[in-house]
Amino acid sequence: MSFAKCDIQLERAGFSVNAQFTVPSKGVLGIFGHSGSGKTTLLRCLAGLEKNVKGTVEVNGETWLDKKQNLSSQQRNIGYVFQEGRLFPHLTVAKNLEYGARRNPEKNNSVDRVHLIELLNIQRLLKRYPYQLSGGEKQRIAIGRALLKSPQMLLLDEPLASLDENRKQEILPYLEKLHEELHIPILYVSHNIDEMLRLCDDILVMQQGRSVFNGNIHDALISSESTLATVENAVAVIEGSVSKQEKDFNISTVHTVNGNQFQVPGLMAIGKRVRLIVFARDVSLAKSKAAESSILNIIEGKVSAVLDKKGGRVLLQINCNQDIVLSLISIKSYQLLQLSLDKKIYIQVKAVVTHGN
Amino acid sequence: MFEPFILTAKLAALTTLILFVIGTPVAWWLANTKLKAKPVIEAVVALPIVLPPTVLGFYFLMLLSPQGWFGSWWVEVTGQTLTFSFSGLVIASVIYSFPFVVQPIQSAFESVGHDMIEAAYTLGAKPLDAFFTVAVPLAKRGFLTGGVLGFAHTLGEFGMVLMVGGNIPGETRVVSIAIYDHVEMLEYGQAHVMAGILLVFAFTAMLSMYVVNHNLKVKQ
Repeated sequence: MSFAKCDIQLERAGFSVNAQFTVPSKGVLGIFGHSGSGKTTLLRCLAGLEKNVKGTVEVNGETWLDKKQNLSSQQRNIGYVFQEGRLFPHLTVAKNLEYGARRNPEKNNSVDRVHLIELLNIQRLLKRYPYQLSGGEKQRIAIGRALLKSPQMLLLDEPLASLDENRKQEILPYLEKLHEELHIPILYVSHNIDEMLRLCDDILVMQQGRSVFNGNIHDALISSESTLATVENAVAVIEGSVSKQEKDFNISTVHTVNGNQFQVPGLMAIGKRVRLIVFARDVSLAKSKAAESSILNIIEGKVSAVLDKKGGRVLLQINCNQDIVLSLISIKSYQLLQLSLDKKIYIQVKAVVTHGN
Repeated sequence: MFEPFILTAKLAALTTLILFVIGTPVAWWLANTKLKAKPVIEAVVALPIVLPPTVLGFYFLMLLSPQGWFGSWWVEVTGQTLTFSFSGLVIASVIYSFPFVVQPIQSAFESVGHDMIEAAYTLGAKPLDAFFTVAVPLAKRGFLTGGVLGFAHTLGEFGMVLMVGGNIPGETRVVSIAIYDHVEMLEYGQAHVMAGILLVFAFTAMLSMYVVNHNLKVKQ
């Protein structure tokens, strides 16, 4: 069920944004695009921070934008986390957190402060001032501050962009926890496909100010419309849960929704829901099931689409009993294997990345 | 002996207070406007810094005198004349010290920028709320500097007071005029005392401004 329907247009000198998309009532909608593709401007339009926006925005039955009105930021019950956090430097962490909570227009403070402070692990920071915090801590406070307002929607504008790699890895687990616990939609802007793969359920792809794809992330990654499935960065994600552990080998088995099994490195709790990330360059193809191979994951499937060809390589979509993966092979192999649509084939997956969800 | 000091302090305090009230919105507007005419307005605001006080005083004399358009309106409304009165001095001082209060506040608002205000908006703060809870506290050093400079600059008025206010004891005879009087009459001893007090006061004001300003710095 869609929570919000948006049709947003903004004209500026030398730049325009034109995007149509829906926001599901729960989960993370990733807004993905390269820098300059208009994703931050789009988020600002949705937050009521831009003037002269045209179109319609309907959120949970309320009209935020149409021909007659354009609600101000204060009137839209959103939580917004800026790229640089924008904590108030003259207030302590505790006062920063309070700022939004005290100004909640609906006065329904549905967010449990104690629980949120625990979730974000910021208890010991409450008395500090922003200048005494690390970049990662600042972003956690900024997220807490936005959520304590009990918003209907949480908007995150590249919250990790200003952090180095280590700090990013420190924050991502918190974002994953939020994803699990929050019952409001999260809009997450990023130019980093890895963050999208880890966090998003749905995705909106922006290109030169226009929305080119809006839908489920699985579909986005494997369809040609979204422009994500290209020879350069093709990847697929598959949802599953852990069904077996092999302590001796440090390997866990993940069962996918469609009944396939993947063996992945690392020991994970049985029953844990995980997301498998399979890069196309790690998937090779064979006509028969190799009886003896170092590759653990060999699964039967069939070619369901030819997506992209460039520089002597071809990107294929392989359907393994409804689990879709991509495979990047040379055109020479493609011809040697005499591949064509619906041809039965075995995928050999060299590496799988997993993320707990 | 102390009458001129009390009068001067009253004048400077009242002028500074009025300037906070009318200068703050002007500073905010100047810091945020995208109007093309902004440099023109900034130049007008800055004029009292460069104009000889006698020029300013001369125009004020024209404007505030019972024949001038403002002075005649004032006489109609209050029955009092503005020239050679304390009220006239206050009005002239407000203009005379205007840039000294507005400019520091404006540049403080400019360095606060719009980002923090936007953050306050997304947290549900209305514009006036965001102004008082975010912009003003972050610009507090500008207010301190503006207040001290406006007060001190008004203390130092001479040429304009002479033109607009004259030398009426208890009404327009401020310290700088009193010192001039004493020197004219070769009463160097009294001139020394008054000049000394003003010097010490001015130094103390500046010193405390710089010390407090340093301590007020909002760490980023």
